[in-house]
Amino acid sequence: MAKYPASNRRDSAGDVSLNMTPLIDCTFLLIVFFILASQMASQSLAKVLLHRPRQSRAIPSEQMDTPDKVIVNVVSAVEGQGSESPALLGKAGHYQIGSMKMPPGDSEVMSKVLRRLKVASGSEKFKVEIRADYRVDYDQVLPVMRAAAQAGILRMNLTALTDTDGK
Amino acid sequence: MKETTVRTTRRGVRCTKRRTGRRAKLQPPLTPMIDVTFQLLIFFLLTATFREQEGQIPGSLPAKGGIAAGQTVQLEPLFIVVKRSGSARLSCVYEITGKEVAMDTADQLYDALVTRRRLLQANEPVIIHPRPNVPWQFVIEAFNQAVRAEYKNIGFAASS
Repeated sequence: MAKYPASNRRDSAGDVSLNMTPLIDCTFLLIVFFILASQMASQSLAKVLLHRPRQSRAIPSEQMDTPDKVIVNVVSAVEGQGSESPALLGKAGHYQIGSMKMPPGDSEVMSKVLRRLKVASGSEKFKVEIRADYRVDYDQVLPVMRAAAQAGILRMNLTALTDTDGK
Repeated sequence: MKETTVRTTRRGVRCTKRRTGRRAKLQPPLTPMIDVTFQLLIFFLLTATFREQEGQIPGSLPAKGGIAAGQTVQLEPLFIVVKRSGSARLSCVYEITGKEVAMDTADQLYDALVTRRRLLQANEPVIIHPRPNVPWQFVIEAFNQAVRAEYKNIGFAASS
């Protein structure tokens, strides 16, 4: 004996449709993830071109066990400009710590900021990570090292690209 | 079992509606929303720039006197001087203590450092001394080759 009348069975067979709601939920979640991740990534890491040394010995950032650190970005003056002007090629556009930007050469202000961060961390193993664009000249990076030394920071890490094959 | 409801419209016309048990589904059209959502997703996927794997090379900060900060040195340090070899920005050479000939590739520098370390059988401190107008990529390169040659105490000169 049939459980349902024949007419109902015919209706349900002809009314096949996919439930789109979970698909839309997932899609919206992906969009929100991309928006938030891109904003968070751009806050502490400025856009710089990093050098990949030959047989790079750079240790991937996630394997470094030092949470007490500050990242100082040295952004090239030609970053964001259409052409690479030879006069600006070796110059730094600005220094950036977190979302704070500083003009190049102002090591006094940077030294104060670094000292404040070191005191706030309360760690003797506090490190500075220098994340400099490979196009800038050494004299544009040296003020960062001097400021860190003045702030009483002893150790530093230099940021570079790791080898592509993971060696 | 079918039931019949009677209601009156605003014009006062009585009409009957038959409930058949299956309620008609009222659902907004989802197709435009899905279209827009997929367009947004494709836009973000295409415009996303994937970062290359970054890493850290540990080192010491320069201090007064040219010795890495916080370290006492008993051996004479090995200096690596990085300077431009001509007017071109991207041509630099490396010079190390005790070697007259300048090296213009990273592999030559590495070979010289390894040879010296094996010869002296001591892990002397290394001080990298770049000239001010040297691009940062050559400084990083010299630093990396010193780490690759298994020197442990690597720092920068205080003055450029």
